[in-house]
Amino acid sequence: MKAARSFFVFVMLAMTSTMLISCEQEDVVITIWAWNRNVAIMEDAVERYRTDVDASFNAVVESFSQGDIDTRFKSAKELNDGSMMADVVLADANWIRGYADAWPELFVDFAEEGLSEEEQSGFVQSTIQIATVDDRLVAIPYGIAPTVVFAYLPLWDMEDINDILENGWTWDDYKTMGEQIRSVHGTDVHMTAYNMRGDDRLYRTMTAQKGEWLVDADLAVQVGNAISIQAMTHVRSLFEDDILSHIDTGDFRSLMKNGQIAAQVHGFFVGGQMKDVAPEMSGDWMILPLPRWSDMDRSDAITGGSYLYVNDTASTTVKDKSLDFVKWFTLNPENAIQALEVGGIYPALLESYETDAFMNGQDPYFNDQYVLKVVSDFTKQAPAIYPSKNNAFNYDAFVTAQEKILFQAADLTQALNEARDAILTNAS
Amino acid sequence: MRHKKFFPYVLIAPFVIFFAVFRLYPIVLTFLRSVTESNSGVLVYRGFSNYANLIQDRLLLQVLVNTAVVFMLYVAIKMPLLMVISIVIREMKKNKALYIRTLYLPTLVGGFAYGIIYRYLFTYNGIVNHVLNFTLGIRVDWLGEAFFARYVIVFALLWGSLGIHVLMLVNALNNVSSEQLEYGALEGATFIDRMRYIFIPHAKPLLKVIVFISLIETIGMIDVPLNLTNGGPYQSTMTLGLYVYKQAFQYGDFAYAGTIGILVLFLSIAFLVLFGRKEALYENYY
Repeated sequence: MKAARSFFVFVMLAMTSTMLISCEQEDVVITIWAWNRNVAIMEDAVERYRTDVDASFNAVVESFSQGDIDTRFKSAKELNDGSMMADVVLADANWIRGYADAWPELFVDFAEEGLSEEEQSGFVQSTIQIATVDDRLVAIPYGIAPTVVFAYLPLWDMEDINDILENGWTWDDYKTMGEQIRSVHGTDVHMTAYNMRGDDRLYRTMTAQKGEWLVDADLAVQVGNAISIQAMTHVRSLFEDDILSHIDTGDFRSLMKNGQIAAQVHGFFVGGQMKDVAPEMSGDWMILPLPRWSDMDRSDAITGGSYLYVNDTASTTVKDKSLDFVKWFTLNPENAIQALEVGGIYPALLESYETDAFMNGQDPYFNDQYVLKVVSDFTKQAPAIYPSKNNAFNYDAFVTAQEKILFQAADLTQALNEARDAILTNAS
Repeated sequence: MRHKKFFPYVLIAPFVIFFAVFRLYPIVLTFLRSVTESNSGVLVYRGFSNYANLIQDRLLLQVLVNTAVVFMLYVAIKMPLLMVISIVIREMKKNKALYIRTLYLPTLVGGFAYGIIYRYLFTYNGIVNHVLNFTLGIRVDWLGEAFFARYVIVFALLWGSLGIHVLMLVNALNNVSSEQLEYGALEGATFIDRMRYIFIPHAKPLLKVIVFISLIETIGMIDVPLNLTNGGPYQSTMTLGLYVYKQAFQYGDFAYAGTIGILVLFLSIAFLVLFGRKEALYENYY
């Protein structure tokens, strides 16, 4: 009887332990936060990871806007509670340094977690520079936003297009071309839509070509310096001559879809968005290199990017699984191509530029142009631009200066200097 | 006997607990946060430097002016409109409920949602400008000019809040005696006369409450200006609530946001005291 009782207790204990262990294993669910087209990319990646690598991998991709993630980050940081953040989080190039600077404990150092220097050198170098904060690699890049010109062919003379593709063009040419196109096609047509009430990609691109933006790598404020004045002077000149279409919502895609924009300056990902919203325009667009400054030979600019970071405050099991997934996703050229196909995100992994899709892929939407090859040619050498830890404030200060310059005819240098002073005061 | 002695405390306990947890505790916490800094989640006392920063904050002065301007516009448009609509609905023979419900519907839509709706209506390439351009050949930079942007915010606020106040006012005006109105009609009172001598005096206490609610609404509003203008142009629509929100959730400075929060608290108390005193004078006078 006693033996039977002992056996029963043993069986119960064994069953309970097995259940607990299996429950624990099944309960490891990785949470991933992403926005827009990145959600579909992540969902696709999770499915493939489960199929190809780890069948037990369990992850939930949650869709938040970039602003929501930013708000959650700031709230979690205030409470110093990393559990309020997901295990793997998408971060924009313009925010990642500020986040890591404000709350370094949240970020896994990928260099310390086994991402070798050789592996790091496999990415477009500006992305690694941006993600390296205090000698720690706080995130891995997987997408970049090389900035290009989307030319709407029905508004162009093909001779001009070919000339630009062959010889490049300057910002002065861009303005002249805008005047020419408007004189032919009427005043409803503009060269590019410009968000006068926001941090528009055009100004950012103009300064990024010279390796600057609101601050530099050492967080020294760049607003109001010579490059900033040069760029804003050109923006104002384009604005005064009505080359820019005034938008205040950032909804330039509607104008592009209406055929009212001749040469939109924007990130490569807009091409994917246009395929979604205006499939009927297939063949009507081509991608042109950016205009360059007359004092420069090259015109490359990268004005954004997608990075993944892993929550260092998560449990070891979760962190390890997250790290394995993120490394697999970002270091594999097949995944980069898949992300490009699923979400139109241009890869940061250089190896993907050697794939057949890049070397020989013609895109019917862009008039059978070898788009990926063309863009990769002016992506590798693009300089890094650095956001700051006070990005939100800096945006607001800059936008206020921009509004004063464009709408209140304020003295350009003075307005930019006021913005610089506000940024400096806030930072101190 | 003893049981009876404690019974009133039991009755007020839910309110006291609710007030202490959801009102008093956040206020105390906000004050503590305003005099501390977060060091890896641990709050360390750092004195009243944030309060000194309030005095040096040039934008804060503009924010206070913006809030006052929006409030005055809001009340100046809302109160006459509210009176006219409420009287018209009161005078209706049928379908009163239908009109009240229609006006009330926007109240059910959150400020965040109608902020976005108004943005797409009034953006430079929005529906309103398309109509204006089609009919008159003009476009107005509704959200780009401080003058217009403030009006758009006021109209968005009106759209969202008018219904509930019409509902309150119609109920109050329903209590006006028909004899009084009939007497007025015999004396040849016009619509204006009836409004001036009968309806407004009757609804005056409620109108004051509505003005005060509108003040609280204007001070605290975040979602409407955030989605419509993000405080622009030239920070002319940066109101107190939005400024606090930006400091905390966009700039990540919870301590300074808390400091402004305490300022808002004292301003509200000052208005309440002022409002209460006028109310008392009004009561004594009559």
